[in-house]
Amino acid sequence: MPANYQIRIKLKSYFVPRIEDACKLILEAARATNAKTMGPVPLPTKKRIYCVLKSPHKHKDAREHFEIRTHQRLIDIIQPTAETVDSLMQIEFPAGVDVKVKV
Amino acid sequence: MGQKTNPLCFRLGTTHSHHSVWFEEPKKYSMSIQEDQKIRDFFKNYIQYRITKYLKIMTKKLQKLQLQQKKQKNKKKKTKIPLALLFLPPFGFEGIIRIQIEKQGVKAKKRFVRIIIYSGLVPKFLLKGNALANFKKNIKKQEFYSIYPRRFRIQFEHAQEALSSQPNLIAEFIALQLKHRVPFRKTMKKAIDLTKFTGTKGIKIKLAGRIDGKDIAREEGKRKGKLPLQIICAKIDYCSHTIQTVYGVLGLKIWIFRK
Repeated sequence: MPANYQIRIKLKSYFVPRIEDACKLILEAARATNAKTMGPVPLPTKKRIYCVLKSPHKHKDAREHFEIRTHQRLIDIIQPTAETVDSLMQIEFPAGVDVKVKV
Repeated sequence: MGQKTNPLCFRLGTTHSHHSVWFEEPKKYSMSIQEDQKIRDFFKNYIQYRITKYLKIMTKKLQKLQLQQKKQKNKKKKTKIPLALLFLPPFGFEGIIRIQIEKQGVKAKKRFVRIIIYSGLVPKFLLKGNALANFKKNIKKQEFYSIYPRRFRIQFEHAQEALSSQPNLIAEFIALQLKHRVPFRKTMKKAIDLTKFTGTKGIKIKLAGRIDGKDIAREEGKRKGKLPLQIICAKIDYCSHTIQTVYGVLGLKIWIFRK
């Protein structure tokens, strides 16, 4: 029974190949059950930059920059069936990918 | 001197991969790192403890067999000592090359932490029967979950490349030799010879501190072959190791250029 709600899936990860694999898994599951999908839309990556002193004592001018990049992807599933919801629940995502599902 | 970066960090996107794979919100990021550190410390200590226990039993067996062999001097058939006993790892040897930690998110269906330990020794003797059961009990006792409880799945894997091309194991070898006060030039030469037939194109060893127990600390190094640190696609393994000797702490750094 086609429902009138939309499923919005947001994926976050530090690793690009893993988030791409996760997107593929979701799209395969959705297409196998004939649901319309929108995406994956790549949202802008967020960078957290940390500037840290290199030396254990003084030497204020010697520093090192580190950054953490979170990559984000957005997938919408329009008019999902009960089958799609079931198959989505059963997906085993690769480690290191955070998946948030909003109905 | 402080101009060189860590070659592992420099190549993180390409030839080297992260040792911990997980995603966490910024608020809980530091807790996740602390969890990783606890896990790694626990495994290193536990494996060392297990190895020393195993070695004590095996050395006793070896001594018994050697006594038997001595008594059988005149006989033609001597008791054979199995190869495993002849080539025992020395005391104080850990043999861990890498501990990979993969954490699934909280919302995943089967949330668990997968720990893959790449060790240089055959893992069979480490986890046999009673040892395995005790291991799992110890993990449950340890409060590893600082964020939320997750099950643990532990995998032992043998290293894929040759053992003597792993800088971690060579570092441990040198550390043991130096603790027994073997002259450092000999140990460095021996270490470089170990990597001869394992397909390494270049090796560099650097030792710093009170070498040979002298009052004045200095730096000594030895290198052989090529070592292109600036080339990102070159597979360069790196290890920094601290050696606790009677005279103080020695710092050891090893770079190995593999094919």
